[in-house]
Amino acid sequence: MTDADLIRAVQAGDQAALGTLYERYLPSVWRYAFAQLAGHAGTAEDVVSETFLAAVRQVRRLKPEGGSLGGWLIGIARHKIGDVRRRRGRVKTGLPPDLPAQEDASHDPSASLETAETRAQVAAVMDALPDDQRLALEWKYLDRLPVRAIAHRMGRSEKAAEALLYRARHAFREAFERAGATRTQTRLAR
Amino acid sequence: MVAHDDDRDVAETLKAGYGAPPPRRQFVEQTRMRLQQELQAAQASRRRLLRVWRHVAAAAVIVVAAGLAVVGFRGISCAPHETGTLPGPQVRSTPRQVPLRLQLPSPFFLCTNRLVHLTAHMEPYEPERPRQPLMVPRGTRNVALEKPVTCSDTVGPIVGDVAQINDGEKSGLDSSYVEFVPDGSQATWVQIDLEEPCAIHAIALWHSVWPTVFHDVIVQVSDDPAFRRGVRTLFNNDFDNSSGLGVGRDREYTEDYRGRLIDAAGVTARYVRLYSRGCIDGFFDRYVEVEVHGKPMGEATLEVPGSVPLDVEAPQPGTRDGVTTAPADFAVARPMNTWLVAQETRALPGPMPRSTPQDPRTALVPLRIRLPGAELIGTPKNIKPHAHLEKYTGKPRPPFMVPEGTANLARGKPVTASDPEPIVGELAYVTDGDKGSHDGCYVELMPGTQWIQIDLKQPCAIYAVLVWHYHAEFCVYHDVVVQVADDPDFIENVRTIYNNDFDNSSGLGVGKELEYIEDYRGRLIDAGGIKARYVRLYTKGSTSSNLNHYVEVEVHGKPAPKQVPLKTKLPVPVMS
Repeated sequence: MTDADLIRAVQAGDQAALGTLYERYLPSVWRYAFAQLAGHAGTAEDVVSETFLAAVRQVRRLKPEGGSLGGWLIGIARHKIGDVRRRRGRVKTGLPPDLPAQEDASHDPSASLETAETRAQVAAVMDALPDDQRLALEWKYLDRLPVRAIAHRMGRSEKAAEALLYRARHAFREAFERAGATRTQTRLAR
Repeated sequence: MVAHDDDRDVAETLKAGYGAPPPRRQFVEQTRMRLQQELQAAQASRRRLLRVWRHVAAAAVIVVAAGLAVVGFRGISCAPHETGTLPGPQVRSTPRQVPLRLQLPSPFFLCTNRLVHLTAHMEPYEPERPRQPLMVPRGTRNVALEKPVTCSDTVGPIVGDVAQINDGEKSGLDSSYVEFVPDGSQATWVQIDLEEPCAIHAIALWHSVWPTVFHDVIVQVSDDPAFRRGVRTLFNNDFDNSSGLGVGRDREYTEDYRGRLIDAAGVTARYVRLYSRGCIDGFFDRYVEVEVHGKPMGEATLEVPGSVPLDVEAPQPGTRDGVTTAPADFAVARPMNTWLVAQETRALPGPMPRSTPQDPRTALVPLRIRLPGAELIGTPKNIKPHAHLEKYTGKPRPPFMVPEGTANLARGKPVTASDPEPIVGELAYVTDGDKGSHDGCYVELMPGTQWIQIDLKQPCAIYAVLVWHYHAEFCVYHDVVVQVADDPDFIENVRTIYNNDFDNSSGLGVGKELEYIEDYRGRLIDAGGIKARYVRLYTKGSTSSNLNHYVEVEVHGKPAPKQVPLKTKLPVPVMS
């Protein structure tokens, strides 16, 4: 079922279609919230829940052929995260609080910091990518979907999906390298 | 081969930097169930709304008839089935023995800044004035706690469960209130069965988590579950008898965390019924909590006078909380941060005329702008500076001088858009005066270059256009173009008063203005007194997303004087 079909079915009150939509986009919205909130899983759960609830309330206004369903959901999640930040103050970036503390002697704090910085950097790069490119990358490399499935979800041909993936990889690599260079320059300046 | 290596590199980076542990199974299933319930509720709500529309005509007739009844028959005070109306609220109960102890919820959850119309039938809102203690017999307690509740809405509530009305939870959070969307033909009621006749000394009623005003609040008691016999009305503010239960002598009031305390003066009854008929925010009825303070009749005869500690009503409203009342003719009641009005006004003094009035003799005054709350502070991040981006400064905007009598002409005017069905919100939000960035304040349009258009309804001299896009996060909207014209299709006499589309990606011409970072102050555009009837504003996504958002647009100006055809006396030809 393509996204446009899904939207139409949910607008008609189809519970099964709602379940499909939820399963299809839960990983993306969850990853986005988790990354943007620096691993605060509890807050990410609130954001994900509020995002989908808002989507169900507003789905009647969504045009099936109007744009990316995933992008729309991420847009809602972005606003919900903004609301969370306003309510609770800025969520500090850093190590995910849900990860167990490492107390062994081999633990290297600088390595942890490096990991946290990388995560923040990747999150920023992914957030800056166009919605279709971000989704294509996630589905391909994190959810391990074949190109055919990605194409079907997006309502595109396989060729178009492959081209999209190529552009997405290119854009990701370029933005990531640029962000890395900026970080190195900042460190050198210190 | 190279492509394969690149592919693997991206995959590894994503796994390391963007991977997340799977969400908890319990959370996933709970959310799925909530979504299914939400979809069901949305469908039910749509069906009910359709029914409401069908009843609109009937309701209008009822309201007109009720109005006529009020004008013509002032003497009627209650419906035939009533046996009398007891004194109004906040009157001391007898016998006076000990103060009633009420546990109030936190005002943080129940009160936000709010502008509410003050009508002739409404009592002034006085949050600073403590409520007088209500004296009740010793041993009085909430006899309604967790007792059976029924309601008139056969479809059932769209939010929560009726059992939440008397579950003791009045925080105002999602799980603590119940909400009905009635069909509009009559007031909704909820009814509590105290399970035995009780001497009722007070009823405390919390309707809403928002400071709002509910209509036709009526509280009755009876020993008959059908309320056909022995009905006594303890409170009634249905001043126009629109609910048909009699003209109420009590006044409408503004909800807040303190709830409404109604003196029941020891009336004996088993059933308590509470009516309401929508509120100023829409056609829904809501209850956070109802408490019935009294004693079962068996205990009531064993009263022993005594004293207990003072009333424990306490939490005072925070500095951010409050309600401002406005005259009845104020256009629209909407939430707003009133303290910021004063802040903007303070920043105004200092001459700096910029707008160019048509008539140089016209006196200039600073433009008064109501600013929303600053929802983000600090330095914008993740926005790369470039040659076409204005440097962000948090300094107050210098005063903008306009001719005396200039007003916001866009307020409440019709708005159209290139995307007639917004993804989020409604186009009317653009001119409703509400400049907050939270849900319900902004409209979201589809990706790509999109426009909204305001019809000022007549040709006007425009001195300034103020636009607020989504400002709860720092972002830069692209291709901000503002045009005015005399025709709604923008074909003839189109004039561009602002354009920052530096690369002409929207095809409206190369703009010379700079892109800017959104914040709560909005963008003030000098229109220089240009004459036009229609104002159109374009954007093409932002640095945050490719969607387009508008919170508010103000067009400050004055209606243009009508051109009177020149009557010239022609010289009489002289025959020589």
